[in-house]
Amino acid sequence: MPPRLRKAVLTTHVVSSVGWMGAVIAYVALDVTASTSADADLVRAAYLAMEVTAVSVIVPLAITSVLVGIVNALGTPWGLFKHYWVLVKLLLTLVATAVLLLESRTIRSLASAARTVGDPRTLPGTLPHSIGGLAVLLVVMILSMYKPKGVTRYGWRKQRRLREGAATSPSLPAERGTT
Amino acid sequence: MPEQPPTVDPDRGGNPGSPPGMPRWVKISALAVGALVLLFLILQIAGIGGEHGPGRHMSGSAPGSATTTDGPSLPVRGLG
Repeated sequence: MPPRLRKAVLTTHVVSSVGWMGAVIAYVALDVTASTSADADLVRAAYLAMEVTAVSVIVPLAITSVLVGIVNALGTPWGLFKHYWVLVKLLLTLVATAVLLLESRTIRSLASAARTVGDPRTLPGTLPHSIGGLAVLLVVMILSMYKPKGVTRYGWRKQRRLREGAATSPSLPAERGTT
Repeated sequence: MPEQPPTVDPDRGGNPGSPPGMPRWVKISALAVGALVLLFLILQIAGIGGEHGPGRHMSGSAPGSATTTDGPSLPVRGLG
């Protein structure tokens, strides 16, 4: 991938990922309000805001983050399956996105119920999912920053082939990049 | 912060002829996730955790549920 395109992809990935996490933090605040407040109007407003936040912000950012993250990994020497931290990050992100997409149906239903039900304080919150999702995103963020060591068997074979290729043709350019 | 992948992985134990083993942090994390999943399953089987799982998001009716027109049934707070 050309350096300029790689920077643009990386920037998009970082912005969407950090935005996803920030939106989830805002969602958790609304969820706590919906689950704990005694004010019925505030609880109703919180459910409606939860729907807007989840559907209009969190879901698009999550999908963008996953797709651009895959492109970013494949476009750099880190690869998608060469290093354990990238692989674990991919799995966690895919699980988080799948749960989010399932949960968004419930969030829509909760907002719909909050519009019509007499007392929205009787509706359940989504706190276990939102706090769990935030924890997963924190782990993903830590993995991205610390990049713990560990090469998969596939990555090791690739590295070996690269070293063998470099030994036979020393004029090969060095790999550059980040994820 | 390493922004480029290492050309030689220190986890390989210095033997370039053998494939690398799984790093300790992956093993510990996998054990922790396995323990959490097991705990979750035990809670579900024991009925402590309440209704949960992907089935919760599917259509259907259950006792103590709030009916909506465009989504799954919702358990009422305090009933499960």
